[in-house]
Amino acid sequence: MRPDLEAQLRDYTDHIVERVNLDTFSTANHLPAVDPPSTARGVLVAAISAMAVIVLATPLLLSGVDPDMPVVDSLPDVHTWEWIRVDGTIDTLPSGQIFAGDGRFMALEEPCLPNEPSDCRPSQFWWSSPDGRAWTREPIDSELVDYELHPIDTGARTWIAGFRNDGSGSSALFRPVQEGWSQVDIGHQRFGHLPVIASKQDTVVVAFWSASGPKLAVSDDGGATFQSSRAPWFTTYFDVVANVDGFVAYVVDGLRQVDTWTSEDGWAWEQVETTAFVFSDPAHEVEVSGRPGGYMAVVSAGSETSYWRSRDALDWSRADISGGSIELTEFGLLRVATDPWTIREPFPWRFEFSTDGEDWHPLAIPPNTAITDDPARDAWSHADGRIFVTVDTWSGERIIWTGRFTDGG
Amino acid sequence: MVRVVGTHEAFTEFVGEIERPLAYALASAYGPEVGREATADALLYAWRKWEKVSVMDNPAGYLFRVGQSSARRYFHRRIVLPPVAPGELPHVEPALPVALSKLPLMQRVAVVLIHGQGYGAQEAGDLLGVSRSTARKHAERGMAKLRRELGVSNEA
Repeated sequence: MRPDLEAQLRDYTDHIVERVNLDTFSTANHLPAVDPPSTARGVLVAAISAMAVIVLATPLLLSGVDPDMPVVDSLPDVHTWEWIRVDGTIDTLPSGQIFAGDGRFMALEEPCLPNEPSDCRPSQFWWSSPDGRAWTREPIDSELVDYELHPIDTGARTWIAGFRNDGSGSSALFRPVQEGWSQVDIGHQRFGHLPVIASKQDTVVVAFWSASGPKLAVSDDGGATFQSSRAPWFTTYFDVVANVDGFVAYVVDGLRQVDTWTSEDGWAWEQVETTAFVFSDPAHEVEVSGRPGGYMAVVSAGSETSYWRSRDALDWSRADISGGSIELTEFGLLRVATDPWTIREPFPWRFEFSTDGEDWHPLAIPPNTAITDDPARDAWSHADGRIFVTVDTWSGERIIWTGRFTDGG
Repeated sequence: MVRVVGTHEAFTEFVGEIERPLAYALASAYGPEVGREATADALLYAWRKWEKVSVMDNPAGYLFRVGQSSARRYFHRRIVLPPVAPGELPHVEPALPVALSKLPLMQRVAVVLIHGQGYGAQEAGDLLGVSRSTARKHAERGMAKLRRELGVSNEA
């Protein structure tokens, strides 16, 4: 490890900004050769540009999707979307992103709210609720000093990974135990970044980057104990999911392609022999989520993102999805988009849901809800199988909107 | 005509000052490809609205917001910064791109501007639309996270 972190940052940011290629938009090359738009020609150019903006901002819908390959295999036969408002205070409702797992709603307390001073400290508390209405606040672990915590949802079970903020570089992984959380030992004290976790019945596979390279930790008892080993691949970017036969790992190799590895038990892995790489696009990062019956992969290379879907996590077909941010939930795809040319809040967010990646159903925005410019912070997530939750946070008051499909037709 | 030439000169001088920090900020915030488009869009916007932008107290911060709005056209939930394979230039810790991309946006931009490129906290704060001390705090928190994730225990 090079100790000169600032020098690395300089070299790396120089490296990525070289891609920006400042010369391409120097004033001579980039700007239209017109006066500021007080002239007729300027107005014309501005008008033409505005038309282009409208076209660009128009939501791009899907095309060319194989209708016989649904992303997910079930959605209740319901069509009406309703919102339920839950009012509270900073003492009665959580402030952090809500997620679901293990049969309950959960939230990790987030005291560092948008636009607040940056010296607020991460919290070690978590909130739980059986229904999204009544919440209780409890410490993750009374022995912890100051952790930054991240939920990891494997579909079947939710885990929490954390970094200790005491300068030691140590880290921890927690698993749910009844109404609380238990810290587990995976045999390493440092994660290079947050681990990826896949679980199937009592087998849990944790893949992570350590100072000495990629590692695997496998548990055969539901995550109570782990044994670790070196991963058979050597790259930074990977993801792991469970499928009907065991586990599948996706690894971005040095050629920016995605290799596939499979394992029945999480211990022994072998690379899938293919005549072509599993995804045809160059990749910097791959993220796969889903459950047996339907998987979605997001392959990213710079600003280029492609979406893929599969029934078995091995054979993939490309889904022509564009526009906004796509999130795979248990019941389908959630698309969050906005008008890109609105500068000031509130932004005109648009939420759409699809069970097949083809037909998109608009979801009404909760009334009088001011959504900030970061939907990830506004916590749109799936919970309890069929409920989406958002948190609207203001000083002293908390409002939770839960939205769900109903039978109202 | 004289006014137009003067406008061009003033705008060119303005771009010379703002282009690089704006590009670093938007590239680190949204990745190099989106950052490039967002920077170009912001500068184009400045040209079109030059009469308004030229008299602003903080045009850098305003254009950063314009760039952010533009970036939403290419919105992705996760920011992907390009990896550097072992043996390739520049020689950096392989986990650095991942760790940097996982920082909150404000921390990532502040870290890149202040610690990566040597801009002052005031200049970074102007771009981010926050105070000098807040920009510095964002940078400090981001650097602490990077050191923790990369296993660097002491100050660089």
